[in-house]
Amino acid sequence: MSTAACQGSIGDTEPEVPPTEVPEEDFEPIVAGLRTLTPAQYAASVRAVLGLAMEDSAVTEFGQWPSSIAAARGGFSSTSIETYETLALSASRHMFDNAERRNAFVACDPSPTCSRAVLARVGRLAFRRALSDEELERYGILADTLGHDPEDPFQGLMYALSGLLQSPYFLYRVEVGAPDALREGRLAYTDLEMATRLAFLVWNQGPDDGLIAEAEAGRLHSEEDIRAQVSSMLDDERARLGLREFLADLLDASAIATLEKDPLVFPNFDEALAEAMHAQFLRTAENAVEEGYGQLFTTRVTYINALLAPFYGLDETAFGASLEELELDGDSARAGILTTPGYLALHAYLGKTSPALRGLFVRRRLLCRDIPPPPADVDTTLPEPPGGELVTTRQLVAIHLESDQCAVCHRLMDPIGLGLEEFDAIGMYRETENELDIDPSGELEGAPFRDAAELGEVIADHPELLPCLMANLYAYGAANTIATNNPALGPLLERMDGDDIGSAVLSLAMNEHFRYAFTGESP
Amino acid sequence: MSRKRRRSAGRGDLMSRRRLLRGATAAGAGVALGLPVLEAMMDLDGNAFADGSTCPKRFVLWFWGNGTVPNEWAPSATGRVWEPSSLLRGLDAVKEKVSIVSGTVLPTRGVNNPHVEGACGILTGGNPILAPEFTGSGGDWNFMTPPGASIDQRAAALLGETSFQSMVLGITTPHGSSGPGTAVRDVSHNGPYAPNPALLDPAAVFARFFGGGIPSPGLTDPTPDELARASVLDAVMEDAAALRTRISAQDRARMDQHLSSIRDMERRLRATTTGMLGVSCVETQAPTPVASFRERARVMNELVGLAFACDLTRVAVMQFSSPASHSGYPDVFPDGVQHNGAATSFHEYEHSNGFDATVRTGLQYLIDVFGDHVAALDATQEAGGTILDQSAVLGTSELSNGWQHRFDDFPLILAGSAGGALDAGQHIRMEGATSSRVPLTILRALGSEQTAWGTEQFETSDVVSGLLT
Repeated sequence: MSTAACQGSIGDTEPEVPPTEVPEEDFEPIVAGLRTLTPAQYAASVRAVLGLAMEDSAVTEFGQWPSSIAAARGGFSSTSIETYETLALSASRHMFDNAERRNAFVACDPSPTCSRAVLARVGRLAFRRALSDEELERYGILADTLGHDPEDPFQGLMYALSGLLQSPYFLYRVEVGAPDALREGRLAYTDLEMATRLAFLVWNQGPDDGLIAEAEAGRLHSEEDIRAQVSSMLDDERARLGLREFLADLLDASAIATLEKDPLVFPNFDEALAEAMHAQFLRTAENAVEEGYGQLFTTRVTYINALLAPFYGLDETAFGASLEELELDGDSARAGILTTPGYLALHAYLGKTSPALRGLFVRRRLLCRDIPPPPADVDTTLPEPPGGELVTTRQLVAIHLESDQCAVCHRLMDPIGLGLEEFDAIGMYRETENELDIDPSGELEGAPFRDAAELGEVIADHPELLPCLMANLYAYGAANTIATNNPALGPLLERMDGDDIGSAVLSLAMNEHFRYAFTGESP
Repeated sequence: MSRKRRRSAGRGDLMSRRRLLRGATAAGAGVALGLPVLEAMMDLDGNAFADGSTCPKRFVLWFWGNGTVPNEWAPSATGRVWEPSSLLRGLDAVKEKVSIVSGTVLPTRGVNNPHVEGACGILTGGNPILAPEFTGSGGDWNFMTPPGASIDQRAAALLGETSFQSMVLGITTPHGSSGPGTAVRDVSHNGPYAPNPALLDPAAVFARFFGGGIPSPGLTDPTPDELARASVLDAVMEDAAALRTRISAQDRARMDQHLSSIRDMERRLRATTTGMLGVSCVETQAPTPVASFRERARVMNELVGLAFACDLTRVAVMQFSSPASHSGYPDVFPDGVQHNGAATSFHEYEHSNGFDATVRTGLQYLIDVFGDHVAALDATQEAGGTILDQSAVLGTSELSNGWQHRFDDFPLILAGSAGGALDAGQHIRMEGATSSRVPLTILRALGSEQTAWGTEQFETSDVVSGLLT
């Protein structure tokens, strides 16, 4: 691509933001293409396509790619094809196995015309665009011919519907772009493709009928169009969970729900507790959608139910199964999402903590700092402490920091994670380890902290926090990676309003790197 | 119960398995019907199962994570007089039907994570692909995937059309992946970024392979439902073909993989099965939950034996633990394995302690559970012998030495004789030969005519000659 191609913008220009200068070697937009759906996107899309409520249990989450960046690359194996077929049939059958639901869904008497009306209406949502005549006929014929139960006049339509839910146009987001006269070497996402990109970015599901209509009317093209659309999409109630999903993706939240721990060390740790931790973690993230990203690391607001109460020294009998919002005292050991049991348990081993894992995530994911992997031939043996005496984890990992081979990386991780040592491998508070006092102090890139709460403040104040958030949002929304020192990130950050996540999403949506793709041919 | 009558060449009437299983579902899930084992089922049309040669061949990949110990795992004597080493004692009862190939080296590059390189190397014969989204230095297994199909899926392509391409099972929870990487999460792949994740819950396995609505192989033509579903897949494939013309080369490769899986499924739905019924193909009850890994593995073994006996599939994968697994083995360490006063994973323990009595116990345990699997297949009868006799079972891992990340004296255990193609019951030591010989040998034993296996430094055209009959 040429440098000139990256300057300015089409349609209305933004006077207060100068054109972006991006040296071509610095930035390579993604090759336009296909993205599969994450499990949450799949379930939300099936429900939306069929007009089912969000909590309808006839639809289950499925997918092999829990993160957005993985779903952009991931494919389908024989197992997943078989599973998608089973799920498509079961969702389709659900629409027809109850007369009331069926009549509301079909809303016409059985006939080829009726089938085509239903398929056109549903297909438009499933394919995120109107079906072509050829496509409508392809599925219409299925509806006409596949019924084999004389008692069931809609059986063929049921099969045809299951086909829409297995089509690659449903299971992939098709975002291939079209050549753009104003941008040599770039492809512009079409208005319909933009509707899909924006809907998944802001709502974590496909576009609704109204947004598709906007695209069909050509109102998703200019920067101003997109500003207006996204602003109103952010006001929609779907945005809160949609934006929460971005933070959940960034923070690997889905892994919490399936955590396993050593049953001997933690006899009370079970699936229900893991799910409670996951739910609390998501609520904490949701709060940051309202309150700002920095607050995610410092907030004293948390969410507690009976299972989580013991973690906070509270009487479990005072709580029920659902989460209640609670504000912790200012001198609580816990502040921010890093001190939630979910984070602490996720970044720990089966029975013991790992300052390295807890610190690695902060450095690599939250601050976008690189950490080299251990050398392939490294001797990772950590000897038992001499004399068989039990020590603290801090004393144990001191070995990492004394060995030249280990220290080069571990000094970047361990001093961060040691700040969370007052919490064990499921996130329960502890004052001692092996009957020795715990020292929760540490440092992050030279900034010292005394305990976990101060660690949260250091992270919230870190100059790389917002650039890294934007890089993560870019990876989430555009399925492409960008280094935090890339100049292309500058304009994206300038348009952010403080640490407001919605404003970051708006900034990304308007940015040309979100609206244009690379052709895939050598520049 | 519906019944379909059909004339056979010499024996009496045949029951439709398909209908019988359907009847079972309608009567209430999980109720054992106790189907009679009919002579007719064993000897269809006077030719199938009249001798073992017409039974299909099967393949099992039995995988455990984190390797073993070179110089400790292999038996000392070679040839037919071998005796299991201390670490292989779990094979005592089945040693006549097991062959050991020791001394080989898996030629990994040593530039990426060793668990990833080893798993990709032994299972797919290639080097891992690093997803371009990864921007850090070195490799990160959250972004690494194998370059092609794993040996089990290549075996499945070879072994013919059954209701299910393969049965991919697991016992311990694998590592998650925060990115598109699959190399340490899943051992079975149809291609890059196309993993077959292991099913960990026996009840889910039962529901999927034997539950209501999923057809069993029978003596009937496809049902109207199956034909309708196949027609739906035809329409889906037309969509895919239209889309294929508009996408990048990279996406085309992904779409081709997708299309090929749909095409396989469509063919399986339309296939008229010819009535493959092993004597052990009898209705069974849905499994009840069991806590112990070893007991759960035994339940899975039963389900694999049953699926093979009923010819629902010819390929199974048992991912006991994934590459680089961080599981504990509570069956043998009821108090957990401890380091500095806290329970830790076996993987971590090995890294911290090296080879000691605890590690020996853990490594013995893995082979004990593998031995259970081999014994279960050998206890599943079909005409002319046991399922094991018709199978090639490969037991392996991604490393030789787990905590030092080594690849010499790579653990390779073969069970079964693949319908007489493998000469079982011997220990063959091949000092320094490439481990790639073993996957090539297995595919040849299963009927492949391919003369080479692997790419780049894994490529070989040599088999383990003493193994092939």
